[in-house]
Amino acid sequence: MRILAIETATIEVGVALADETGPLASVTARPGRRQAETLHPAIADACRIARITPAELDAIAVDIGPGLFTGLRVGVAAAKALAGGLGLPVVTAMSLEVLIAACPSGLGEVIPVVDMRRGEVAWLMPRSPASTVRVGTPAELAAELAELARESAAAAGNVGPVLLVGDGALRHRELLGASSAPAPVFGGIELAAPPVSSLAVLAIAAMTDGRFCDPAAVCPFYGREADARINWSSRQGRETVS
Amino acid sequence: MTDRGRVLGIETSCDETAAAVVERGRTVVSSIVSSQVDLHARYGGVVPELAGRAHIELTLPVVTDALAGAGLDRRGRSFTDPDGPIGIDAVAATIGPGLIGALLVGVSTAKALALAWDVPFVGVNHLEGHLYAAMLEAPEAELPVVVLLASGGHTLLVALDAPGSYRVLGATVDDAAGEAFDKVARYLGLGYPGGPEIDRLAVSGDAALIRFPRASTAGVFDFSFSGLKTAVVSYVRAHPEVTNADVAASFQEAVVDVLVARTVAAAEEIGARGACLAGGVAANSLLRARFAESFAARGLVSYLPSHAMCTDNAAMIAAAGYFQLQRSGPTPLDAGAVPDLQLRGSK
Ligand SMILES: [Zn+2]
Repeated sequence: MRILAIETATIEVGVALADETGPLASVTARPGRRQAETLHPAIADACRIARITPAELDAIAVDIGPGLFTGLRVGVAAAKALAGGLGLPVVTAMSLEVLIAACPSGLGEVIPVVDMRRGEVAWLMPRSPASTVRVGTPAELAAELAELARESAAAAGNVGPVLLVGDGALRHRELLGASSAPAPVFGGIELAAPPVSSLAVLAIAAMTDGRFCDPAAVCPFYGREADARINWSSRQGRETVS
Repeated sequence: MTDRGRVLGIETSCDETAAAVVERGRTVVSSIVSSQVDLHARYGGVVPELAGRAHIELTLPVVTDALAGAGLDRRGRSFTDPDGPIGIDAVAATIGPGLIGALLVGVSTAKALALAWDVPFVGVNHLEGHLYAAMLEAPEAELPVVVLLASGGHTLLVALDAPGSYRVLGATVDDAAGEAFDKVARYLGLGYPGGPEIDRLAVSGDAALIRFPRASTAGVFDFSFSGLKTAVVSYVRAHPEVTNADVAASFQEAVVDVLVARTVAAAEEIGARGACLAGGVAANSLLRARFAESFAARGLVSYLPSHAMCTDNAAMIAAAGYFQLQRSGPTPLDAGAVPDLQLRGSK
């Protein structure tokens, strides 16, 4: 089984190919805002490196977010079209799940934090299902971390620090680092973006378990309503006839 | 490319999600348009983030429908020969102008389909697409023609010399014609989009009641509509008793006057065999009537596209993509969307 995985939820564009034996090839880049320019050549490159043509794929995997809307749409649109055009199923994963999967086990409690810009981050508390994604300000996350540390201490006495990974954790390191005792430990820059090879490995497991869907059903997880009203009132202001 | 020259076109630049299959830039095999106009109507204009979200949900189903209309499954293969070759020779998508979050969905979809099927990708200028819209319904049209492209975002006069070869003669220096309709409609408290509302209301109004200014511009084939909009506002303020119908009729008369006069002058300048209307404003009934009348009086053919060809669609993108592929070859996969892409004329 050969899977092509697409990762565009945060600051990185990543494409990986994997089969049951593990990753076969991966291409990553930090293209700034140029996800649409970078992703498709990366898909072609990854296929070339792995000597696989798109027609030889068995499934497409994609990170559906949360993350940055533009990148998500570029990645999800590409995944839907590749899968649709090749007649393949899609495996979806959330950015936060991929970050957790990328952490070696035995590091204690992992809390992935993804930057959503406009002063918000998305995170997932330990042992919580992906459906309980939290979106809020870094200060709200800091309060939850403090609460978690208190609860853990009360339940188990002496507890180790939590591990914060993801670009949202790094961006708000100062605030989050002072949130609780013991102070959280931060993942490195290699865990800023969800690693696409981890997405590919997760997707192989999901395919084996039969957790996949039709490309028409795939949609980004935005984690925030479209702020239609804000846009509209500022447009009206600009257009006022004098 | 096979002799059939079958191009799948994808259009997601604004609030329509569209896909079409066109052969050799001339024959529309299938064309599907899913409009989001109801989604945006309550905000009085297109909301970019809502448009982006709708496109991502609609693009694949719309593409699937367009392929089905051409007898192909969503893998691009014939329903009657599912193991046969891909029935699409190239995938074209609008790369601009338009809303970045909307454009990117179509561009990413088209490039991924081109990769999946190992066929060329063509990134198309939306405005160039509009130039071919009328021709898709009049394949017998003789070139050169002058095209008046008037929509909510653009007002352009273009000489179409041959398929794939065109020159921009003039453009609006401020508001687009459709924008003027929308702004005046909003000022009068009519609905959105404003064009159809003014068109409907003008029927019962007196077009000769108010003589609104016809702006002159430095370029002979250029347009200016912002002064007209201001004139409407000051007239209504000074004459609160005036009816909306009379304002609508007089305003529409002024816009159509200018559009037709400039197009006629342009047609004479380039020795055109005919003239085409294009863009959303081409649905305006007074403009259509006046356009046809004026060119007939000069012994020239006018091409008035159907409503479906006036508004945004993907058949025109597929047609433009076909001609562009013939002239300049495929677009590299590292091309992105260009929200402020201009129409500059072909090389
Ligand atoms: Zn248009």
